[in-house]
Amino acid sequence: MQADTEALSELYDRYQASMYGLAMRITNDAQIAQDAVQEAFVGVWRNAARYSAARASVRTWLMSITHHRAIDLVRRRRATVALPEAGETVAAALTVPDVWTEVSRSMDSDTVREAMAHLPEAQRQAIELAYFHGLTQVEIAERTQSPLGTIKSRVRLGLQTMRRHLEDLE
Amino acid sequence: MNDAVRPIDTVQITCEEVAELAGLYVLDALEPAERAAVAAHLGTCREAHEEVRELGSVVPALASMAPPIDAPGALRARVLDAVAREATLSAPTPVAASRKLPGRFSTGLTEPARPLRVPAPATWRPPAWASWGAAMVAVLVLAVVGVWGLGIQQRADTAEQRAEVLAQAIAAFAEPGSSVAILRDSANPDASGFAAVSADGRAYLVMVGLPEAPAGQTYQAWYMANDQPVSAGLLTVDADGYAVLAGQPVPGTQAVVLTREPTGGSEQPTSEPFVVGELRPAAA
Repeated sequence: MQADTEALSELYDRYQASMYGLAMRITNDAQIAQDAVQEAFVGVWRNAARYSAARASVRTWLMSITHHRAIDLVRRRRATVALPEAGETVAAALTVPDVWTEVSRSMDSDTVREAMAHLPEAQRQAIELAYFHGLTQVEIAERTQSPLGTIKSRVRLGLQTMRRHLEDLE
Repeated sequence: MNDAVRPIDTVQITCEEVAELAGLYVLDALEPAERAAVAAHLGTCREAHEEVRELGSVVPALASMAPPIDAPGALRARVLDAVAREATLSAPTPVAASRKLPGRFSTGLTEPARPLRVPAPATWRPPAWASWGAAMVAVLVLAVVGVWGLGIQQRADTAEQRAEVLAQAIAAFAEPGSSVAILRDSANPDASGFAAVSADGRAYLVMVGLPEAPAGQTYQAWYMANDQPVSAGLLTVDADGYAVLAGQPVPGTQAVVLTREPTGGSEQPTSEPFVVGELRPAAA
């Protein structure tokens, strides 16, 4: 098991800052963020055989799992969303999220912020509430006092606009 | 608000509804029942639902908006312990044993005790975890060279041959029966890579992040067999810090090591190795 442990150490050293930064942005809590990173690596370990380089980079894969775990933890903390029963927690913790192929490899933070800045405020807000705060569409609608259908449209249109912008930068 | 979340029948959800929910789906912002309904539809629908893939392609970019923050130092041990517990729960009983690094060098690189697996009975079948090691190491390889591999493909005119050797190296790494080693320069955390020796006797060495060799020196790779070094060739570091080497190992090669030698190389090592990679089976 030495080689795989070494591999995990290497992955940790390379990506811990990005993963912890994302988890902190989502949870705003150092302890929960550490839990998210730890759970993400356990998920990585268990699901390494499912990783496909054809679908996404290692970084994207790791960040997707981290996001998934962090969102799950903040939702459990809020407990306003219907969540799996306690007995299903272990299985849920091992769930592999959808991992999306990157629209662009030019994904430095300035580029993405620029793409985000092109969005109308309401679209940007809806995307941020979903991605960085883990709010569901119902919670976003309540938070922004907007109809559900409007939230669907804002998120869809916002992501479409960002995609076009990021593609143009390729 | 004029509308409300209605229960979505996983059988009746339509392609149009999936399209409407696509943005929230890729952001994982649907209620659990809706998410399950969309996932079930995508799993069975004959339509490609390109809109889901297209909107999903933006999601990886969002992660880069969160500034990196170094995790508390204690988290590293905590993570590795948690994974070790997972591995222990699934693995056969290991027997601890110490290993002596091959070679005549006093490397200064000590290797911790490494578990030896109990010999398996003839009827034993590898459990699911048996492939984890190879899978995890393959992930590391791709983490190290994956993006670079794509990069050099874009500069095919200058790096086509290197890209081909790299592809062969990764293939050898994943082949059943190959022996592999992760390579690290303990003095330079930016330099790492791997070695792979295929069952049919091809050897590959890939290093990433090596600086140029000091003036008047070159990097030289060595096969270690029966504690004796045999030159594997000089390692040329390209401008982007990558080096790839292919060759044939000597019989009984147990490890691959790198040394710094005078320009032109040496017949025998004249310095202590700065990278030592002990070869071992890629998978159980």
